[in-house]
Amino acid sequence: MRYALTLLIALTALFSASLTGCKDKGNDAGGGGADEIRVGVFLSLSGANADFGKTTKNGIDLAVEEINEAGGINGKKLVIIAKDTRSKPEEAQTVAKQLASQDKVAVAIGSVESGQSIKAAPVFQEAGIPMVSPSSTNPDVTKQGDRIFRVCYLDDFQGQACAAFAYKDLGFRKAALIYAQDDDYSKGLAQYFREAFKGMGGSIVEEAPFQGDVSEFKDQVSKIAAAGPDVIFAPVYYAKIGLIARDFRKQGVTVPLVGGDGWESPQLIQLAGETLEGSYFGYHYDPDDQDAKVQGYLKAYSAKFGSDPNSLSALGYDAVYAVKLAIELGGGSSADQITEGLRKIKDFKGVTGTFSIDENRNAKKSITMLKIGGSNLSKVKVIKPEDLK
Amino acid sequence: MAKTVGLLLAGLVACYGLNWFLAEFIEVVYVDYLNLIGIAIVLAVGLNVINGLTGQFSLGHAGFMAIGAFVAGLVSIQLTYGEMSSGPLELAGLGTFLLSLLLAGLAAAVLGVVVGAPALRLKGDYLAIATLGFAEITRILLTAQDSLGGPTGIKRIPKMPLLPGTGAWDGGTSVFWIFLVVFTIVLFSARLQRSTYGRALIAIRENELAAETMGVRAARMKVMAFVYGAFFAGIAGGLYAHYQHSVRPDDFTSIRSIEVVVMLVLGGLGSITGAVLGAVAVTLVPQLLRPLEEQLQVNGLSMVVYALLLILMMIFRPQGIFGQRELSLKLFRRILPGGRK
Amino acid sequence: MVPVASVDFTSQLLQYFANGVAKGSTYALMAVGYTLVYGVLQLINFAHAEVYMLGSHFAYYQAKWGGYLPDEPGAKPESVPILLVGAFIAIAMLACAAVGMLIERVAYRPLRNAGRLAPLITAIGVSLFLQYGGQVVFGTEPKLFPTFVETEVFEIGSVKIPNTNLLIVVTTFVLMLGLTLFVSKTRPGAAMRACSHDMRTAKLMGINVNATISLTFAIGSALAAVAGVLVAMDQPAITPLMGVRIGLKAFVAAVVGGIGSIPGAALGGLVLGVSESVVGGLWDTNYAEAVAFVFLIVVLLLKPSGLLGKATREKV
Repeated sequence: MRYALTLLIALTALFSASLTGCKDKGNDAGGGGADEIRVGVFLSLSGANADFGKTTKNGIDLAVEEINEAGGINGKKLVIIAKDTRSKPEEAQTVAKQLASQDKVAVAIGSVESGQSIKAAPVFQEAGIPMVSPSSTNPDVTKQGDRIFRVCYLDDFQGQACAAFAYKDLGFRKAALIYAQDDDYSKGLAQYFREAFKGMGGSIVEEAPFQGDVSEFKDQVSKIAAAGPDVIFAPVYYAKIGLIARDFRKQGVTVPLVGGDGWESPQLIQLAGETLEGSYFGYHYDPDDQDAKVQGYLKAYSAKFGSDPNSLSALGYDAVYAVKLAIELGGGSSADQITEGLRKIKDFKGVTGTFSIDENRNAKKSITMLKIGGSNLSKVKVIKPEDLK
Repeated sequence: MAKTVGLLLAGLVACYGLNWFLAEFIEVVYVDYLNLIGIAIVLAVGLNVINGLTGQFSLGHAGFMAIGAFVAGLVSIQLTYGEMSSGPLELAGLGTFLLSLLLAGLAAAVLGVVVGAPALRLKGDYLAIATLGFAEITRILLTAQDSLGGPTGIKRIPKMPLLPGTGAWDGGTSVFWIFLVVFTIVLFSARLQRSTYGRALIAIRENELAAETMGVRAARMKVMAFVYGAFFAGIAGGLYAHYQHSVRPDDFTSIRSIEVVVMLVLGGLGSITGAVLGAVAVTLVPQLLRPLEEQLQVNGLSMVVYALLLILMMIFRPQGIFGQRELSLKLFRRILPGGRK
Repeated sequence: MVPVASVDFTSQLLQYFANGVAKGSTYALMAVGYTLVYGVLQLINFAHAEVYMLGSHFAYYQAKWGGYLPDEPGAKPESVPILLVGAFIAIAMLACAAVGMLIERVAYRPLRNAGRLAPLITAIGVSLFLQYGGQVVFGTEPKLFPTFVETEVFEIGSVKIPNTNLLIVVTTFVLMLGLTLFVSKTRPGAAMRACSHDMRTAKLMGINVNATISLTFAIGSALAAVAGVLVAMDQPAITPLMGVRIGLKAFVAAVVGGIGSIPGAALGGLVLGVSESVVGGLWDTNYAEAVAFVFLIVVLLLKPSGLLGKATREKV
């Protein structure tokens, strides 16, 4: 009977002995020494979504390298402390605690997946550290606290923009939906598209969600094919859309597909073959934009990593520059000053477009609808937030 | 009875002391590890009663935990904010918190009956795969509930209530609450193991037919084992919800169920000490390997090493770290020089 | 809002049935691997799903090194000549057979007398090792699988069947038939049956038990490799985690069919695939994933040894 107690004592002793780090009292989240600014990064670097994290990290690394080579910010260098969330939301909370208490970062950047950002947000909020998500588009993310920001547009805007584009610009009235039921991003976009499309007078003729890491969509496709839509909204990630498009074409469905920014990847056209020709997706910027900033970024990225960037890299890149601007606007590199600075961001010109941070700490920016050709993308239309009002 | 109450009080004081000590001296990161370990211990010790003692191979522990987490989250959100909303986190009231944990445990226990009763027909790997099926169905149905947030689950679950004398420091009072439950379940399970009921459970594991001949009501005992394990898994889920402040259906995939089984077998199936050590190892090793992969800049390496350790560990010590033995004061006395034999 | 169906109910049902048969065939091909190993060792070989993943990756790298994948993104891969396809698949099968035997030798054999749970944990260990090792070695991004056959779609009435699906069904049928003949008519097959019946007696009768178990793993793994390649031909994007979901489904199929029985694995796979497709298609695709598990529980409760499994009676 006594061993229950013994066990507890033994366990406590074991831990007390093994813990090397004692609590460092009185040191607030100042973010490093006099000549550096510590930036915490938490992303999926391994596991099912490792690709998202790695490409985002590339963008972040590129921006930090550029800033440090140019002399840093007010003479201070940016130091990146990157943690792997292993594609698990609960690990995001664990590494957030590491970044906040052990590494004492001044600002955190992450994550791509909204689920991870939602789990990490309360930690940074409680620790008084601002968090900037580069690409979590779920509306709930920034509702987790007044220090939680993002530099991407939201699912509601993106879903509405895609609906307006399909209804008004392409003139379609019968839409079908295929989406991942267990993915926040996919399900959220589908929901906002559905509401907006119906609101304009269109009809959703069929919905065929899927769950889990599936790679075949025969049944969903058969179901949608039977309903005879004239456009299909498929808010999924690029790894899936190629397979989905292939299954649609195999069953003789040739209507265009429309999707969100998750489609974008240098591999998109390769994975889909010609099956996505004539389809459209909403994106953060136009890769053929002749703007010097965009072209400079594209060149620097391929020079450093030997591959083309994707939207996640660009958003990671912009997140770092937004932090830089925040430090300049806030007048210093403490957590509070960066938070203040982030709130003040107006008309920031990034690679992914010009945006301001609104009162809900979200980026207000426009969406560019791209059309997929044989081996290239072309800009069809730019939709601004005010266009939908 | 008096002894149990005395021990519980002692545990209460010990947990308070532990919480105070950690709050004063130890970094939040380690406190976080400790909390995750605590939740894992509750799961593992609970499953030990189902799997280790009674010999019912269950792969559905994540399902019980999921139900507990969602019930506790919803109850405390309802009682604290009145509705699902956004905004800063608040503290749960003491009554709210305890009620939410109790309901979490009860809800999971009900599911325990639902799973345990039909499972009576099944044995071994068939039982394992059926319980895994139950847990997966639970998760898939939770994901499909839009009113429960769908895939993102429920958010803004209140923090655990404070205690007199502890400030609102970074880790809050999570250590106190989690380890109070750990202490309780370890105590109860130890008592159970040595009671008539425990002997009956072990008899069922060793030979069900013989046990029935001896007058053990095997069917009822087997379901009771499920209910016991499920109840504590539900509470573990409740603690998890309050600790993480948000829960998602995919926090509770079959991978988590498998992880709990790994803890048990690694520590030594049937041993409470083993379950505890297994929970510590399985939670801690992937975290302690982080510096290695960050140094070498190979993402995913720590999981590769973890998997290798798992294989080697089982090959060289297939009965688990502790086998079926327990760590107790008696053992210490035997090891210490001059101790009683 | 009732959608105006452009296709009548019967042909819709037939379409789902055709989808389900193709899906079920891959489950069946994978389920055989689980069922063979379980029959002999009473071990759930969790690593089987990762052997499937390796199978498609082995074929992928052969084609890549053979120059059948374009370097620049966007370019269409040229199709691989049919003889080379055969060679690639044969080599992938051999490589997977070797991997399977290696896994058995290293992770399971030392634990053969250590009870049921210890080898199960090493199986989980091997599975994790290959998943994460695969991510480290192959990378995490999805890879376009080379064109082994040009896609063609056959239309029977209004039911559309791609040639890749047809190939899956036919190959599975042929391999299952071959395997059944092998197990029932040849000497090594008889040895496998003997080992699965009673390993100790088999040993006494002079059967080389270790060699027979290795053979079992080799056959199961080679079939997993075929499944990996066939599925990749139909769904040409492969990742190191591609085995996880199908592995679980295939194991469920093996249990539903009656684990240890080869016809059971085939039946279980088909039943599972068809019920998923038909329920998903006619009701809600959302719940298709749950169908497999509901089905599993119902079957187990009605007939605990599975559809074609033999009931074992406990000896007193």
